[in-house]
Amino acid sequence: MQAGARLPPIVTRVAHAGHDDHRFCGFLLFEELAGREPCAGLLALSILGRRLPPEECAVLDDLAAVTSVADPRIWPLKLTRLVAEFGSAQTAVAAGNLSLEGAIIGPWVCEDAATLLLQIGADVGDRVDDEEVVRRALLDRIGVSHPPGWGVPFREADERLAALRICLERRGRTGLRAWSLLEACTRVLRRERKLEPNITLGVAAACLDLGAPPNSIGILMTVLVQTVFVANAVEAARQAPTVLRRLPDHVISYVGKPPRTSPRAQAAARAGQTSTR
Amino acid sequence: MKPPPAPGPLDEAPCAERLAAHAVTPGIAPRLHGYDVEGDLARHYGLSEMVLLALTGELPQGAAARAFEVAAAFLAPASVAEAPAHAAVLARLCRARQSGVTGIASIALAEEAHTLVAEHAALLEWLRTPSGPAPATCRSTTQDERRSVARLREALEPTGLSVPLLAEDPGRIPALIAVLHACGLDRKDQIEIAMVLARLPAAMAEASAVRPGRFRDYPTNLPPFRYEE
Repeated sequence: MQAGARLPPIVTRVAHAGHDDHRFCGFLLFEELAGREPCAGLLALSILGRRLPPEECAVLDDLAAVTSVADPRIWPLKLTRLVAEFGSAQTAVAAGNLSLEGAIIGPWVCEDAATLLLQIGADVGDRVDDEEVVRRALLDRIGVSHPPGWGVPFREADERLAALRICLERRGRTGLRAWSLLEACTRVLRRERKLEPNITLGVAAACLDLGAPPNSIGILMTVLVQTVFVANAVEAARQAPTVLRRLPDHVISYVGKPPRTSPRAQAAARAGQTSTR
Repeated sequence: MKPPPAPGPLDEAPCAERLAAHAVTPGIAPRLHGYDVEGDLARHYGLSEMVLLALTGELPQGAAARAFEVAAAFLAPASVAEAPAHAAVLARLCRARQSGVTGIASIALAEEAHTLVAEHAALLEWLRTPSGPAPATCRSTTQDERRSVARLREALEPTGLSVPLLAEDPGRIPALIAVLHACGLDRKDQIEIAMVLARLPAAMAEASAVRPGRFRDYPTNLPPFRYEE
């Protein structure tokens, strides 16, 4: 008997490697998925555990496209480039991804926004079209706090959300429940708090309308926005400009403790020693 | 060909012009929290004292540095049975680059430390404002743990460092967290970093001993997985 056989098995629904074909999330990899399932579909299968119809896979493509804002000055992307300075794009992508989980910007914020939308949705029941009911539910839920998914820094409105709305309109999905709730809540907060929604709320609504639970949206969107990390990592690894590897001293402002001498150095100076160790 | 892009929000939004350095002065004569590294610290202080200085901003007082070394030694043995060293072994087996192996071990150790510290949030709160008995979840649950904590007490005795929790039959990890706290590491992030620093060398030692590519030597079915649909 193998030593490991005495341990309780870990049950997996992900995969099993076979001889002629392999299992993946309940499907035969070659016979059922290869040549049939798009990349977005495989992603949905791996995170949501079910195959999406083509029109829903297309929503994932929309989400990936509208969120692929890859300006290298955006903080997680800049750190990706800093790591890539040493020549490895792959390590840099991993580092960029590490910066996202639980962060105050990026895909994981979508989970809080989705949770809020679900809570408000539960409060309003089937009265999503009744703006006063939505208003009461929304304001009761958020109180005086700043709600996740609202607020647009540096500009008046989030152009990514506007682009996503156009994509979803083309696909006939802006009448679905979560998106309708987003629009109703937006009208309330725009009027009462001068707050505009941002892309995290749009992503949250679009994913909820795909049937994605809130706790799956962070990782789903992390994978969908890989292009922004990959593009920066690949370019930075090739360029490796020395200025990023070490910034010149004159652009650094030291704001820490002023120069001081350690107690042992002071004692050594008094005793005329070179070391107190 | 498209025209050059018009200025966007990141071009227009106000932002700082320089990067702030809080701990290390840039340049060829670096100072760490104000102390000359090459002319002072390197001559008069050891690595554990440098670590405590880096993490707390001040040189350790009294017995803290020696007690920190004791705690770090107790934390150090990251066995291959534990996920961080195991993951590093697999990376080495796959012939990953050394930076990849080190990075994987570091990430797993950081996750492990984050989880351990989060599990002991009540203890950290009690250490900050000790009132009444320590949280019951800190208590030792096995004789092996009690023996380990007894060895920790013995090792710390010469330092004279006061760690009141050690008198309350703590478990091994709570006891080590309390020692780190008594050394001046009173924030979660400081304790997590100390744990990673202490455990990385042993995890890497396990990985470095593996011959890359010898997949037959690795127990693929330990533990077993069972696929279900």
